[in-house]
Amino acid sequence: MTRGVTPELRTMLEGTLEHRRSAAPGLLATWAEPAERLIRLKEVIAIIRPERWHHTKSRVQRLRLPAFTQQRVLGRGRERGLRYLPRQGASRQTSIQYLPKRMISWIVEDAQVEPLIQALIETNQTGQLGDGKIFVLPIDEAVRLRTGERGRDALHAQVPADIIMGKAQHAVQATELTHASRE
Amino acid sequence: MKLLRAIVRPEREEQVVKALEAIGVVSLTKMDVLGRGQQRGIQVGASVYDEIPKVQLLLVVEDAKVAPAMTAIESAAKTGQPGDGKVFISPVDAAYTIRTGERHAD
Repeated sequence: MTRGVTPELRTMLEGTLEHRRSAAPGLLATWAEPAERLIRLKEVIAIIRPERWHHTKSRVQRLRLPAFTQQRVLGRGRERGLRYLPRQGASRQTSIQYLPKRMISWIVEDAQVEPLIQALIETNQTGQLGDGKIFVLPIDEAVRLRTGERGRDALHAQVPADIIMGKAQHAVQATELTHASRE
Repeated sequence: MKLLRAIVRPEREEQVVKALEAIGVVSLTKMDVLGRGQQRGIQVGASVYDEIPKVQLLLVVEDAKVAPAMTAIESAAKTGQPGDGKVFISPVDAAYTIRTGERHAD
C-alpha cells in the first residue's frame, strides 16, 4: 500500500467518524497527508416536489452552499404514485404511476450535513404524502477539474467577487453580442 | 441501506419495476439517460450510435433486500445480449422522510 498505510490505519480512515475518534491518536501522525484530508465528504441527495425547488434553493444558499446539481426525474414512493377514485360507470381505476420530482445533489463536508438536512426538511415539509426523501452517501474523492484540487479544497475556493453569478462572463458575452449585431 | 443504480434497456424498464414490486420494493426514481458500454455503442451499416438511450432506476433498499432486488433486476433485465446494462451499489449512511422528519439508518 502507498504512503505506509497500515491495515489498521486504513480501517480507521475508511470507518465512520465515531470509529476514527475512538482509534489511537498516535496512528494519525503516521498518515502522510494533512489532517484536513480526514474530513469526510458526503453527498446529500434530495428528491422533492418540483414546486418547492426555488424556495429550497434560496434557503440552502443562506447556508453558503451555492453549488448543486439538479435533475428532473420521475418517481414514486411507498404509495405507488397517485390513484383516483373510480368515477361512476368507469370501467377501471385511473392512476398516475410516476410523479414528476426534482432530484438535487449537494457534495458537502461532514459538518454541513446536519444543517443542510434541517433546512431541507424545514422548506419541504407539507405533511402530505409525497414530500420526498433525503439520502446521505459517503464520497471518496472530489476533484476540481480547473485546478486539479482534491478533497475539500475542490469544494471551497476563494472566488473573486466579479466571478460570482458569472457576472464577468456575462459582461464579455454582452459586448460580443453588441459587436456582432452592429456588423 | 444501499443505493442501487440500475441502468437498463428502456423496453425492459416496466418488467424490472414489476419484478421489484413483487419482492416488495415499490419506491424508486427513474430517469432517462444516454450511455455506452465496453462495446462503444453499436454500428448499423455506416452509422455509429455511441450514445444509446437507457433508463436509470435509483432505489434505496435495506441491506437484507439487496440480494433479492439484484435477482429481480437481473431476471427481468437480462436478454443475454450486450447492452443489458449494469447495476451499481453504493452505501447509504442515512435516509430521511421529509414528511415526518424521521431518520432511518442501519
